[in-house]
Amino acid sequence: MDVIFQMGVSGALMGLVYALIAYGFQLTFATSKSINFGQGELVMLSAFISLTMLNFGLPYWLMVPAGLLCGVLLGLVVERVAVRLALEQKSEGWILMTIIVGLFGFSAAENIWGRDDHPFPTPISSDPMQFLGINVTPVELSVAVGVLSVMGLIELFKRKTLWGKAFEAVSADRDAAELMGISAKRTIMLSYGLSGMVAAMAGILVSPITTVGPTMASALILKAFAVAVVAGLESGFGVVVIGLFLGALESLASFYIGSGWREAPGLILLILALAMKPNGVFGKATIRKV
Amino acid sequence: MLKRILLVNGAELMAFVLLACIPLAVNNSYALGLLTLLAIYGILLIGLDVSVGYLGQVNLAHAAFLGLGAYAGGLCVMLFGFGMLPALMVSLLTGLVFGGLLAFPALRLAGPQFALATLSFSALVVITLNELEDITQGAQGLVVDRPLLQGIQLGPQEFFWLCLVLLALTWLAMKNLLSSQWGRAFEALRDSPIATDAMGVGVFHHKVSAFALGSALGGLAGGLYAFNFQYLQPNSFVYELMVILLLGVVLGGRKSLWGAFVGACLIVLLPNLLSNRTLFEVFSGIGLFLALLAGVLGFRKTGRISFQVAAPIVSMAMLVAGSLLVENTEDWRKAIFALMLFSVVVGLPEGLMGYAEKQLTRLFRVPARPLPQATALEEVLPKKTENGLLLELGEVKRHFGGIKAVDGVSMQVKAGHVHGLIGPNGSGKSTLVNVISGLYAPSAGQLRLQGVALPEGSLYKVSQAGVARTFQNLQLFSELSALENVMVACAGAYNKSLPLVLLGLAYGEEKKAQADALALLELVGLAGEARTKAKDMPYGAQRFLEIARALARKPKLLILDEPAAGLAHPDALNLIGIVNKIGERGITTILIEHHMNVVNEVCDFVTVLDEGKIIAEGSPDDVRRNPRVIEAYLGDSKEATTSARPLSGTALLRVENLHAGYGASEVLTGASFEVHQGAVVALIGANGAGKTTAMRALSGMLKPTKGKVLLDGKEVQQLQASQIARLGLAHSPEGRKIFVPLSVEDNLLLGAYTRLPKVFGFAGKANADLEKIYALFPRLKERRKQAAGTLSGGEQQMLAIGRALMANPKIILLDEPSMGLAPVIVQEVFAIINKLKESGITMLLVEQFAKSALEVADYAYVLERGRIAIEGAPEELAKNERVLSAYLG
Repeated sequence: MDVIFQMGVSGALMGLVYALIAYGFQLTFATSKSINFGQGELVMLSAFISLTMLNFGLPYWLMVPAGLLCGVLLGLVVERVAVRLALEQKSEGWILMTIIVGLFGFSAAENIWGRDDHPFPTPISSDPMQFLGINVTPVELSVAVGVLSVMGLIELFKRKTLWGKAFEAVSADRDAAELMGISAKRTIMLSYGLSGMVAAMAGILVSPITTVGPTMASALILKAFAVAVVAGLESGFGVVVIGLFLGALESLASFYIGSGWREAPGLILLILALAMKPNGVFGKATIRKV
Repeated sequence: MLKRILLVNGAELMAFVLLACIPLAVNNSYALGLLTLLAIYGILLIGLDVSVGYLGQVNLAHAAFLGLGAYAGGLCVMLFGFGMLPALMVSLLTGLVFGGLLAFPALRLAGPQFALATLSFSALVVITLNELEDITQGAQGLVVDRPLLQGIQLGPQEFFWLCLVLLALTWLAMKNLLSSQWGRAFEALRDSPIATDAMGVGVFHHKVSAFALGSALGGLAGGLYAFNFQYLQPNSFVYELMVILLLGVVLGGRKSLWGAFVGACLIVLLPNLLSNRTLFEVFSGIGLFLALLAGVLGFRKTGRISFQVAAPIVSMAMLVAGSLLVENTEDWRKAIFALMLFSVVVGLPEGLMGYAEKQLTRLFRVPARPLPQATALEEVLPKKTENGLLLELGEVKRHFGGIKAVDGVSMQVKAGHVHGLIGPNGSGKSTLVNVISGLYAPSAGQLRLQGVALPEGSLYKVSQAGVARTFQNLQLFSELSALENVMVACAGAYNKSLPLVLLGLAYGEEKKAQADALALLELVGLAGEARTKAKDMPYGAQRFLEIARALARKPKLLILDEPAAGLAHPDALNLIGIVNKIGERGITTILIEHHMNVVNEVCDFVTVLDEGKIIAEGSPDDVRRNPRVIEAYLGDSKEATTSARPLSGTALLRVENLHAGYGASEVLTGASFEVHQGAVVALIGANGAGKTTAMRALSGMLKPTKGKVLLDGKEVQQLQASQIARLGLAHSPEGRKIFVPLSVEDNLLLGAYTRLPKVFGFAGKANADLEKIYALFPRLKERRKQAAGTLSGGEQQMLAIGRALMANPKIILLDEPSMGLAPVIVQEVFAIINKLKESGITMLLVEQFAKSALEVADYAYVLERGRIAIEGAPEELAKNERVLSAYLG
C-alpha cells in the first residue's frame, strides 16, 4: 500500500510538468486556435541554453529569468516562422510547419551540444524528506512550486492587468477585440511568447530530474499532448487535475506492468478521450454554423 | 482523344516499362536495391497521399502502419510458414483493420486533434513492438526470411519485379478509385463536410474508408519492406521516418500519383545525396538559385518581398552555408530535411508535380476527355404533378441558451409550391431551415414530410429522406469542377461495388452520371463551365451551381437559403428564371429571400417570420400589404416625427466610391456618403443592400477592394481595425459581439483599451468614465461583476453601446442596435440614442427599422444594391415612396 502511495505521489509531481507544458498549448490555442507541435523542442532547447549559462558561471537564480527570456524569444521565433503565414491563409499549415521547425531545433541541439545526456546542477537538495510516511525530495517539491507559481502568475496577469484582459478579449472574440483597438496579431505574438516562457520553465524545472539531452522532451511532450487533449484546450484548472492523475497513473503502470509501458496509459487515454469527448473532459461543445 | 491516350497513359506505361527493363540492362545490386525501395516507397506514399492529399489531414501514423504491416507479414512467415502472397495479404489486412480502428475515433476530429491522435497511435505502436519481446524480439530485431512465391524462391531481380507489379496494380486501382464517386467524395468532404452530408454522401464512412484504404497500402508496403530487408527493428518506424514520408508527399505534390512517385524517388535518393558532399553542394546551390529566381520574379511582379518568397531563400541559403561549413552532413540530416521541407511548404505548396503538371498540360495542351450528350431533363427530373401537403411543421422550436431563435412555428408547405419564407434579420428563417434540413435538432415540435416524421438533427439522414438544400454562405466543393460538384450529389447513380470500381468496371455508370449532371448544369445555364473548378467561377455562377447540385438529389423538397444574396442585378434575373423552371418541374421549394422582387415574382405562397414566430401568411401581394409585415420591416408604423437638425461644420467621415465584398461576391459597389461633425446620420436599406458590409469596411473589419475612407481628413481604408479604432472610430457591430465570458465591467474597460495604462492603475483612471456609462445605463451597474453572456439581449445591446462610448470616440458606428429585441426594448434603445444625439456625439446609424432611424437622424442615405440610391433630410425620405419599395419591392 505504501508503495502505491509513494509511486503515485512522485508520479503526480512529474505530472505537474506535463500540466505546465499543456498549459502552454492552451495559451496559444486561446488566441489563435493553433498550437506548437515543436513545443517539446522548445523545452529541450531552453534547458540546454540554461545549462550553458550555468556552465559559463551565471548563478542559478539569475539563470532562471535569463532562461525564461530565451524561452520567450524562441516562442516568438516559432510564431513568426511557422505560424503567422498559415493563420493569415486561414489554413492548418501550422501543424506541419511547427513540426518542421521543431525538427530543425532538434537537429541543431544534437549537433551543438551532442547526443549525450548532461546532468543539470541545482542548488536545491535532492535528499528525500518524509511526509506522512512518503519520501519526497525538495527537487520534486520545487517542481510543484515552480509549476503552480508560473501558472498562477500568468492567470493573475490575465485577470488583473488590462493587457491580460485584452488577451482574454482576443480569445473570446477576435474581431470585436480588434474593434477595441487591440491588435490580434500582437496578442497572438504575446501568447506564443508566454507559451515559450512556460516551456522554458518546464525545461528548467524538470532538467535536474531527467538530465538534459536532445531526447529529454520527446516522451514529455507526448504526455503533455495527452493532458491537453484529455483536459480540453480551455481549462487551466483541468490540465492540473489531469496532469496529476496521468502522472500518478503512468508511474503505477511502469511499476506494475513494466517500465517500457510507461508512456502507454497517456497515449491510450488520449485516443479514448478524443473518441469520446473530443473537446476534452473540461471543454465545451461547439455549435456548428453554416 | 488519341493524343490524350498517348501522352497520359503513354507516359505511365513508359515509366513502368523503363523501370522493369533497367535490371536487364544494368547489373548492379546496389542500383537494384534502390529500385526495389523506390517501388515499395511508391506504394507507401500513394497510401499516405490518400489522407494527406485527398482528405487534407496531417497524418502522422503512416510510418506505424508500415511497421505493423512489416511485422505482421514477417511474423506470419517466421511463425506459421506463410507463402509470399498470403503473407502480403496479411500485411495489407493488418493495415486495413488497424487503420479502420484508428479512423473510427480519430476521424471525428479535424486538424490538430487528428494529428495528435495519429501521433499518439504511432508512439503506441513503437512501444508495443518494443515491449512484446516474446513475439517481436523487441529491440534486438526480428530476422525474416523471404518466403516462397508459389514454391519459387525469388532472387533480388525477381523480387524487384514483384514490387513493381504491385506498384503498377496499386497505381491502376487508385486511378480508378480516385476518378470515381469515391474519389470525388474524398475531396468533397475535405472541402465541405457539411455539404457532403447534406448531399447524402455521408462524411463518416467515406472518411473511415479512405483512411483505412491508405493504411492498407501502408501495410502492404510494410510486407514488401520486411521481405526486402529481411530484418526488422521497431525503431525504424519512428517519428523521423514519418517526417521523411511527409517530405516525400509534400515535395512530390499532393493529390497526384506521379507526385507520390517523384516523392518516392526523392526519399530513396536522399541518403546518397547526403553522403556525397559535392552532390549535396550542387543540389543546395540549385535550390538557392531557384528560390532566388522565384524571389526576383515575384519582386518584379508585386514590388515587395513577401514571407513566401523570402523564407525559402533564407532556408536555402542556410543549406548552402551548411554544405560549405559543416563537416559531416549526415549528422545534420534532420536539419537538412527540415530546411528542404520548410522551403517547399512555404514556397511551392503544390509540390514539384503539381507545378510540373500545370506547365506540362499548358505545353502539350492535352484535351480533356469529351463529355457525353446531356440526358433529357425529363429523365433526370421527371415532372411531378402531386397535390396535397408535402411538409408539415407543428410548433417547432429551437432555442440557443436563452435565445429563442425559432419559437413555435407551425406551417404547411403544399406539394408543387414555391413557398417563400421571409422576415427581417434575426427573425429565425435560417435557423428554421437548418432545423428542417437536420443541421440542428429541434428543441421541440414535429416535422413531417409526406406524413412521415423527418429524421432530426442529421443532415445526412434528412438528405436521404428527400430534402436537398443550398447554403446562405456557399458550401461548394471548391477544388472540384462544376460537373463533379453536381456528380457528387447525383442520387441513385452509383451502384457498383468497391471491387468493381477498383478494377475500373464502373465506367458505364460514371458516364451516365456525367450526362445527368450535364443536364442539370444546362438547366441553370452553366453547361459551358462544366470543367471549371468551382472556386474559379464567378460568384453568381457559384450560387447557381449550388442549386444544380441540390437538384441532383432529385429532392422531394428543395430548400434555397438566400440564393440571391450578393447577386448582381442580371444574375438576380437569371435566378428568377431558374426558380421558375424548377417550379415548372413540380419540385416543392422553400425559398428564403431578402429581395422582395424575387419573392413577388416566383413564390406561390409566403410565410413571414419575426422574432421566431409567424406574423403573416398568404399570397405575396397580401403579405406585402399586411400592416404587421410593414411594421416588422420598417418599425413602428405611426406617423414619424423627426427631430432633424440642419447640418453644419465639416465632414468628419467621408466615404468615396467604396467597394467591398466577400470573396467573389461584391456587396458594396461604389457607395459614397459623408457624416458631419456632431450629426447623426442614418444608413437605411433592405436586407442584403450592403449596410453591414459598409460598416465593416469603414471600421477595417473588412478590407475595401476599391475607394477611399477619410476619417478626419486621413485615409484609413488600408489600416487594420485596431489602428482605425485608435484613431477614434468606435464600431458597435451587428450582433453586438460583446466579450461573453468577461464581466460587464471588463467589457467596458476594454472599450477604453487605447486610452488606459496597460498594467497597473487602469481601474482608477477609468473610474470617472465608468460612472458616466453607469449613469446612462443603471442596469449595467447592478450587473457589473456578472459575466456579460448572462445579460438579456437588451442589456447586451446597452453594454455594446456603452463599450463603444468608453473609447471617447470621434464617431460611433452603430450597426442594427434593435436587431432581435422586443419592441419595448427597441424603444428604450432609441431613447438612449436620442440622449447621445443631444450630447453632441457624431453617429452613423445602420437600422433595419427605417422609421425609427429616420426619427432620430439629422440626415439619411438609402442604400440599394451596394450603392446610395437616395439621400436627403429624414422628413423627406419618410414620405418617399421609393424608400418603402426599397424594403418591400
